[in-house]
Amino acid sequence: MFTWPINLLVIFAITTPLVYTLGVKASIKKLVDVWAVIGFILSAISFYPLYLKVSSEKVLIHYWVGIQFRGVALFEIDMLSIFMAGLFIFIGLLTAIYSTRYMEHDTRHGEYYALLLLMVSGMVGVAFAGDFFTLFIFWEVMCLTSYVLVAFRKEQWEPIEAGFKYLVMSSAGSATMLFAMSILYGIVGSLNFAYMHKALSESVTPWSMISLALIVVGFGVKAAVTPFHTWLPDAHPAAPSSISAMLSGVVIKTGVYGLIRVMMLLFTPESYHWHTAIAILAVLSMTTGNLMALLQSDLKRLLAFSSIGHIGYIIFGLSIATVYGLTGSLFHVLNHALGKALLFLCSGAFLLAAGTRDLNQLAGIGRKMKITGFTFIVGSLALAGVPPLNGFQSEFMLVLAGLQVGASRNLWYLFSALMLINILFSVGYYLRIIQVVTLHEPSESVSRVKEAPKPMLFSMVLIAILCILIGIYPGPFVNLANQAAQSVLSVESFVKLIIH
Amino acid sequence: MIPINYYLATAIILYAVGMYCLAAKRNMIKLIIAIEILTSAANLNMISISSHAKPGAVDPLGHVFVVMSIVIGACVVAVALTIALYAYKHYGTLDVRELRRLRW
Amino acid sequence: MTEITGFNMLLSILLPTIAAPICYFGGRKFGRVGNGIFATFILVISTGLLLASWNRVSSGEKVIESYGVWVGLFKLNVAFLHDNLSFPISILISGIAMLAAVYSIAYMTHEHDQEMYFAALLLFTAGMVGVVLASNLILFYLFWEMMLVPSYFLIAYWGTGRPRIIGFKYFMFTHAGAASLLAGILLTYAYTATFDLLGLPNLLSSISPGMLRIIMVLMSIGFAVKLAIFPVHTWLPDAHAEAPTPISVLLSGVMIKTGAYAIVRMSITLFPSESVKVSYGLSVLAVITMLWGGFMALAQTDIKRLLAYSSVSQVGYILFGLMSLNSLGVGGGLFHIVNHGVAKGLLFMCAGAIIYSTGIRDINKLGGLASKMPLTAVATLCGALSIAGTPPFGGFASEWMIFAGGFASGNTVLSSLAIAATMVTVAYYLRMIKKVFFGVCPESLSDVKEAPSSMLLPMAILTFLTVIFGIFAFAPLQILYPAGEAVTRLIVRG
Repeated sequence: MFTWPINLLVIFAITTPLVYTLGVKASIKKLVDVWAVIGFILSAISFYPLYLKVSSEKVLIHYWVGIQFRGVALFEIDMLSIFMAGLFIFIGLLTAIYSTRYMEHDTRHGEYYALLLLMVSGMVGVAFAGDFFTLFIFWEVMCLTSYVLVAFRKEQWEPIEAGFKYLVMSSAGSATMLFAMSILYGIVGSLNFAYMHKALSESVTPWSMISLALIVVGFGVKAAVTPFHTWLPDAHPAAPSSISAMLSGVVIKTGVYGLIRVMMLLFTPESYHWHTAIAILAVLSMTTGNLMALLQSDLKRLLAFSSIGHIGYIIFGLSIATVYGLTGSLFHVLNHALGKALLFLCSGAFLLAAGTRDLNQLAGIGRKMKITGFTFIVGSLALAGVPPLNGFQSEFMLVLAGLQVGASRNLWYLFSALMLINILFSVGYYLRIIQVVTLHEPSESVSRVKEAPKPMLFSMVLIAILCILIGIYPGPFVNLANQAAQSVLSVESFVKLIIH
Repeated sequence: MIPINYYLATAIILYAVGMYCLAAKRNMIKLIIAIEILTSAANLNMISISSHAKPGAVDPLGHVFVVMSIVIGACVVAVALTIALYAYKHYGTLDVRELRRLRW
Repeated sequence: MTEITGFNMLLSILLPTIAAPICYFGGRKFGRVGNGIFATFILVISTGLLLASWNRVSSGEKVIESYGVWVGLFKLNVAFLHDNLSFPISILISGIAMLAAVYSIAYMTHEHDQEMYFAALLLFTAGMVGVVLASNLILFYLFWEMMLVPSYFLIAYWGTGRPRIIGFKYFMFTHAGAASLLAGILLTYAYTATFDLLGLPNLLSSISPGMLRIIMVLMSIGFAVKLAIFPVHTWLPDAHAEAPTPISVLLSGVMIKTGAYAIVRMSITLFPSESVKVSYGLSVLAVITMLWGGFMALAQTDIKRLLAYSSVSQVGYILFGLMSLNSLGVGGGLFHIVNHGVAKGLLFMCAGAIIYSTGIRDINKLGGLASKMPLTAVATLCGALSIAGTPPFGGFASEWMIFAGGFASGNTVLSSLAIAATMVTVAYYLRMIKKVFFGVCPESLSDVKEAPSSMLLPMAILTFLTVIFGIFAFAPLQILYPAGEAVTRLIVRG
């Protein structure tokens, strides 16, 4: 129905509560955790043939209701979708493995894994969507589950507050997007991306400009682009760390995906000239994110602000709108997802061991938890853009693309310089957390911590190894990002499958 | 038949009301209502456009979308009310200013 | 270019990189000594692999080893380059690192986490060797930062004083420089669409002079920070003084020299016409650096801080030589890189030996050690005299060439000032030697003994080299002088 990766995720999500009850009845403690991990693994395995098919056919069409109905209810899968969806499933898998031990002390595992699986299926669906109808349904599946997951520990005050704030802002964003979709529907008479591309690129009207603005707001809220970012620094720290890793690592990337898809396909840069506006948003995001991160003393809050900064870098790549810019942008999506997921997983391990997120109390914990400390260093340096780790590779690509385009649009020299300065700034706080966590003398509160359990270490070490690997040998990963960027730019091949 | 412009104007006014409500109100329930208003604005827009697509005919596409959107909206409200309920249990108030860290 | 043409250079970098995690994980089993011997062994092999291209380089060939595509999107290949310029410096780096590893075995006795220390040392060395061998700009930048990270941890983790703040300062300064360098590199690519160092000189001529100047200045700022030229030198005295001594040896002896190497390899080679325009300004900065470092060294009482300021001063000589832009000066500057690396490494090792034996760093509290630690005293004297430019030590030959180059390029006043600065050098070294080794020995130091022989051995080797490079200066110059000539030939043409 929904192609196998999504089907499996949904099936496992539905069966998870049953398995949980079974596990409780049969008193097999870890049954549901293993079930969820199996779900992710199967989904990842079924994802591979899809990848092969798409890489040979470029664009794949799949009507998930089974019939062709005016171009709605369809998946249109190209390399961009594959790139993003693969990332979502991969991080989801690692998070699930991590959760098997991290969530040990919580109850309601059945709900937890069901929500996690559903959230990933929602994200994959967003990446596959070929029309606004599909996009909206999966978008809301993702949003709803993420609201509940943020507020999962409902017995504490912080998740409840942050969850409510997140819910209000995010659903206002969704409603704005819905409003934009209704206007677009009025202009085009269809909800299909291909038809919209045709109608919108032919004539630029005030209505289409309004809907562009509204849709940027809608996706911008989810992606936490600066004026709409205020929910993020509350929501991401409040969630359980495994969910923070999902939220900061990949959920905000769906917003970025939406922006890239809509801006490049529907509101083509040739007719709408949004480069400068997006670039200004990007520079604002990175500057606010990095400056605010400098001031934080809560580890997870600091990481959340740094996510805003990185979203700025990614959006900057979109504002360039060339192959290099988009390649850098997508490559940075990958690198930031890995790095930020790693850091949140590490901070979760620290939280589990020491019971605090406060940097001053965490001082020196990396000396006690050597492997976690090491992966923490790798993640921080990767995000700081220090070679030879992965963050550097994409950041240099972004700046490079900015400078290349500067020859024709001179403003981009300035923006690129600002981005370089931002990267430099960001090193300041990454270095600070590294120093506090791994170099300080261990403080009172961490004097008796032990190394994290094995499943958690597995996820963290695997990501850390990937960070190093991509940094040293980026070739194949850049190629993937490049294929995705190419498919974004080859609008015609995307459109002609629908409109013959 | 009422011209479409009236519907559109109403939808935009509804949207503005929703946004105002979100920005100005401090009660959690009112915030949830604001979100409902925003969604309704979009739904109204969709319905009116689908009814004016062709003279004398109604485009089913818009209706499908709106039905879906209403269902999803109900889910969102359910989650929102649950969270509001827990917030009330924690603080004994629905005023968002009373919550310790939320800054609006 | 995709054909693989040998593995020596790749292995010389890869071996320490691979050995680092082995060192780390196996560290507890090997123990400190085993770990140190393992690290040394790896560095010996890597030095040997680098030496393999001796014959081809000394006959004037360029040895290029390429290993295929790295990032296809940017047509980036992995390739390493050995020529008259990079060969001697890479040997210097891995050689000194090898000696520092030997030295560390005894020196780090009282420290914690030795397994991590040796792993970081290996990575640091791999980074430095990589910088010198890299044949495209991105690879260069990659290694440039790869040497920063381990050295940061080495300073911030095992340093003395306030290591974290000093480490932070070191990292931020160098990283800011690197960001400027990166901007230069990326601008280059934006205009020429290549990162290849060998292909670039021909393509750059198509860029407008204004942009060329911007690129050159951006790059040179990055190199100047690493080299610690006057206004951006402030990180050096802190970092070099507070790092653990074997790391000071590497930092002062070889790491800052990568900046000098990069100035020759890039600023001058790629932008000959622009470097003519800035040479006078940089020469002035070089002289200021010499004098500033010299006078600051005169005022220090901490022995390692004194040596660190002396490094600042010596870096001025190197830059002065390079900026004379004639074959004598550039060749002298390059030779001084080697001489200063050897001599300053030696001096830091001596300082480390003194600190190891006495536990005191303040030269006012030391005295009369010549009879207790005769070998250290002789070694210090040799190192100090070499840096002060006294025949028959290596420093004499290189400084003589630098001044001759300075006069030849017509900067009479600056060259005279530079010669005057050597007076300062002599003054602070003699002051240091007098206070440490002569005079009355404080009672508390009456039972001080010579450092263990595993520390004395590297010192002896370096002492030997300072003398050899003085007497047989022609041997290293045979390789280095053509490098200087090759660079200056570009200047004449441009």
